[in-house]
Amino acid sequence: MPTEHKHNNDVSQPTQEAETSNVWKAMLSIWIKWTLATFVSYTLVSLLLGFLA
Amino acid sequence: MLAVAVVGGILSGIAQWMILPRLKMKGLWILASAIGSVLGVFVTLGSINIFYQFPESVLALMMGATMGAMIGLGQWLVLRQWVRGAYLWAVAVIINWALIWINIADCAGSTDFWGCIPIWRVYGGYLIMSAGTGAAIAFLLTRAIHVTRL
Repeated sequence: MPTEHKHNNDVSQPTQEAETSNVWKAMLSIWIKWTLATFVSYTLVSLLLGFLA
Repeated sequence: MLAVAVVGGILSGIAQWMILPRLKMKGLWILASAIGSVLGVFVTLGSINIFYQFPESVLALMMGATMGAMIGLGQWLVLRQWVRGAYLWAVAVIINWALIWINIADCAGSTDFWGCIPIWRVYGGYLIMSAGTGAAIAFLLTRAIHVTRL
């Protein structure tokens, strides 16, 4: 029984770490994409309207 | 600047929507962004008479917050269906729009707006707003994905 307990702990620890790492990666990915998409949109509109004006 | 707000709001809504397919928001996000941007311009212009008595920087802060509130509240109505604590999104948008307007406060009333304001301040402002709202949406979406496995 104690052996089984140790086995479970060994498996869950790296899985939790990997999950946390994935969450951070996902957050960073969304942040970069969102920042670029929004920045490029407003920049393009400003350039276009500045050009037309 | 108001024309940039409307067209930029719609265009960025489309660009942002491309990042949000996981939540199956379809066109609602673009619609909310477009309506919020147009409504924001009318409400902001309408509120000038109320805010006009305040100093320039306070006026800019209030107008930016008003514009942000119109955009943020519309998007919040969409986001709250999928994400818990979506009100944080509206708060982030209001703060970021207020910052943008404070950034241009000294030139907002100028007839030659684009000639008045240094270019680095315009694009620096866009970058801060983009990164600020990006951080908020990344936090909210990642939490939603993590918790509910959307």
